[in-house]
Formats: sequence, C-alpha cells, structure tokens
Amino acid sequence: MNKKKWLNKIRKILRDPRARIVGIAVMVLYYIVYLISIDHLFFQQGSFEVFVVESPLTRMFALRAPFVWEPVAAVTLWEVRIFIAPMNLLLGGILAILVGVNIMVAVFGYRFRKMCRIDTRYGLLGILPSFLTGFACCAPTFLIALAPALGSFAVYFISLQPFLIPASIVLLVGAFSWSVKQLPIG
Amino acid sequence: MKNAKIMMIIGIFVLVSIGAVYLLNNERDQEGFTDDSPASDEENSEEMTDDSLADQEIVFDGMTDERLSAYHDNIRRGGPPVDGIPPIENPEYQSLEAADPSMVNEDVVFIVEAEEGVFLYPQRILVWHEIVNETFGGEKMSITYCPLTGSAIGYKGKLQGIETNFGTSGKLINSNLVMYDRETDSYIPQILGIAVEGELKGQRLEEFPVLWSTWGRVKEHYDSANVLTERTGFLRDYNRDPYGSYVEGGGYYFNNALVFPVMYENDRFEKKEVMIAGRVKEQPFAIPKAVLAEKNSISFTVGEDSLIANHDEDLHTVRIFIDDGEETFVNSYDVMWFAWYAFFPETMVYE
Repeated sequence: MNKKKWLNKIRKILRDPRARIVGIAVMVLYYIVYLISIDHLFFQQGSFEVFVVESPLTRMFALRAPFVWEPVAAVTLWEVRIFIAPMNLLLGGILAILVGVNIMVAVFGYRFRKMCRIDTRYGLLGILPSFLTGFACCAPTFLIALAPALGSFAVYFISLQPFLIPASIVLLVGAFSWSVKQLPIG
Repeated sequence: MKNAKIMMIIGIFVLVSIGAVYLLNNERDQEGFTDDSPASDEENSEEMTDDSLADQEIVFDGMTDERLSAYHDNIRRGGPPVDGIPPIENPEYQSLEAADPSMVNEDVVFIVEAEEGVFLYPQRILVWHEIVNETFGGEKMSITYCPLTGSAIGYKGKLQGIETNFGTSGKLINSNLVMYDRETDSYIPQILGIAVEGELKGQRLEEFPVLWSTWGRVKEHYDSANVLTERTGFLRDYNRDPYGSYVEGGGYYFNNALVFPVMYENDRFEKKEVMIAGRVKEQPFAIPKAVLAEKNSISFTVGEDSLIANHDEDLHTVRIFIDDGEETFVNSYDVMWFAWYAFFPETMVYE
C-alpha cells in the first residue's frame, strides 16, 4: 500500500467522531493506569505541593528498573500525588498514543467486520505487557501477588521484564499497521 | 487474514525464542539447589531439651572457598539495576513527637542504640531503600533490611582496614539482598555478612545490633529518639508496602510463597516463621521468636558456649549473651526461617 493511501486511511480514521472520542478517552485512561502501575500516581491526603529533588537533570536518567526511571519531582493536588519522571512520561505518552490509535482503528473498523470479514481488534494484544513493568523493590509487583500461584516459575518472569515494553511497542505498531491495511477504504 | 495470523504466530515465536535464549544464557547452575536436605528426615531429628540445641544435621567444614563460591553461583537477578533500590546516604531525622502523626502503633521500626542516641528506622521507609548508610561514633555503619527475608542487620563499614559503605546490587541469593561494598565492588549477601566474590572474598563484616520492634512499643519505651523521615532524597510512596503489610498482617510476609528458589529447604517450621538467629564462633543458631517470647528467658548451649537469651517484653526484642561471667554480647536478629536455613542448613535450632 503506498504512502498516499496510508495517509488517506489514517485521516479518515482520525476524522471519524466516534473513533476519535473513544480513542482519546482510552489514551487518557491508559496513561493514568500506566502511571499507577509504576507507582508514579497514587492517592494520599494533601493539599497542594510541589517538590523537586536535588540534581534533577542527573537523576532523570537513573533507572529504578527496566524502563522505569527515577522521578525528579512530585506534585500533590488535593488527594492525588504524581511523580514526575520525564522519561516515563515520554514512554507512557508513546504507549498511550499507540494504544489509542489501535482503539480508534478498532472502533472505526467495526462497521466493516461483517461486510469484509476483518477484525481490527488485534491491536489490543499489545496493551497488557506494558502494565507488567511495575516494580516492587526486589521483584516485579505482579510476581509478589502471583507467587503463591506460580511457585518457582515466578522467578523466570523476571528475565522477561526487559522485553515487555519493546514487545508492547512491536505488537501495537504491528497491529496498527495490519489493521489499517485491512480497512476497505481508499 | 490467514497470512496475518501466521505472521502474528511467527512474531510471538520470535519473541519467545529471544526470551528463551536470554533465559538459557542467564540460567543459574542448578547443582547448588536442593530440597532433599536430610534435616527434613524424621529419623535425623532429635528431641530438644530446654538447655541444649539440636545436633547439627548437615555438616560443613566452615566457610570454605568452595562454599563461598557455591553461594556466589546461586546469586540471581532480582530485576532492578545496581542501586536501582537506592540506599539512603543522607538520612534526616525528627523527634518522636513529630513522627507520631504519620505512624500507627503496629508500624514496624528498627532500633539502633548508638553513642549519639536512639535512632529509629520505620520499615515502611526502609522497604524502598534497604540500606541506610550512616556514621555513628565516627565509624561508618549501615542499617540493612531485606523485605523478602524479613531480616534487619547492622554492619560496620570496615573490611580489612578499608572504610566503606554499601549499595544494593539488584541481585539476590536465597531471596536475600546482595549488597556490594563501594570500595571494592565485592558482593556480600546480607544474612551471610561475608564477601562471596571480589577482592574481599571470605572477609566477614562486623555486626552491630539492630532491633525489630513496633512504633507503639518504642514510643512508650524511649523518652526521646531520632526517627528517620521521608526526606530521603528520593520520591517513593512511603505509605504503601509493595510486598504486603505488617500492620494488617497480609501479603508476602504472611503467606507461604517464595518468589525465588533457595539453596536448601526445611519444613520444620513455617517458611516465614520469625526466628532469632545469630552465630557464635561461626556456629549458627536459631530460636523461634514466639517460643522465646513465651518463655521470656532461656539458657542454651552452642558448641562449648552457654548462652542466655532474654526477651524484652516492652520492646518485644531479644538480647543474647554468653554466660561467661562477663556477659559477652552475641548479636542476633529477626529473620525468616526459610532464609536462615537456606544459608545455614547446619544451623542449630531451639524448639
């Protein structure tokens, strides 16, 4: 499919009001859930406060875990506290956009499913791995919760942690490309 | 559609293959792991008496180079990078009164009684940092805590005359934090306290007492104390324990699940039963804390030494002395049974 056709299809998807509303809503929701999953957004009592660590420019590149960076600032707004880790805000934004556009394609393509027997929901496969990066101190958060069920297999998931974000991105980009290609529009 | 499904399957296969290759390249030598420890055989166990500990059930010829290498070979990645769990380097403190509003009586705290005064380290802060590097009496000291093994141990920062402090390697052995010393990069498992790799291999750190208590008890017991604040230099949700809760009694600390394999296992006690453990002249011993709390004071023998363990009812802590007329202090600390046994299957046990 040539570039012009790609762009035309994407423009049509972006102009569809229902796809746009659902896509943006999902982007925002995903972004919030992503920040919660890496403990950079949580709820606690407070009013309004801003705190910045020493040497934020150096600290912002320090890794806590695979694809989780040290926050350099904290903003408290009433009962919501947000840790600002620029690298995670950027990564979260990229993931949210990818998830959102996949949802937009899925919503837009839904009307064609019976007519052309296409399924544009494959993009949703890429969402889950990105949520599994949340890290407790010594082991990923989800492993602590699943350890009673997983037993000794739990530890092998730690070796997979570095792959989860790249896998998410690959799946989301791949699924988006494939879904757009399938759409029977000019 | 069919082509797309085939491509998807190929893509997933490629990812799984990359993961498998990664796993195989990082696979630990499984020879170090065994769960057939003879101590679990009933015919090897002996009835205990009140003033003696069980005979050794596994014999080691001391802390040999081979044994240290076995520990080293069983070190695993925990996930975080070096100092990804950042030690606190410049701790700030506040008074008991100032700290009280942010604590509840059941909050676990670790106590250090130093020359400069009493210092309290809330577990809900240390769970995110694992090490506090301090200086007491002009000496470098580190208060260390491993959440997965429930062990809080104090170490002096001196090895072979080298003054040092410690970081977190991001690695674990027997679920226990592996520290590294910042001068030589030597790896030191927290419970072992002996370097298992690097320039200082075989050197043992000197311990100092870190007592495990609760906020309600310490504020009744001490007139004044210095309480670690949340101004650690790092941003964490200190109101949340990612592993579970000592306050509510739930999560990892109270279930029977282990996240990482261990070198030796023994089912004489529940995996996470709290033991008071230590070593006398390299001979490890362990006493269930609940038994000691019930009896208040016990006498027992480790090797040729007669010891007395006293339970402090106020703080729910334990102090152990050699009954030699001089009350020579023996350092001990709270630790989960599974972890103590995994490091010291030859441990003597009081029941």
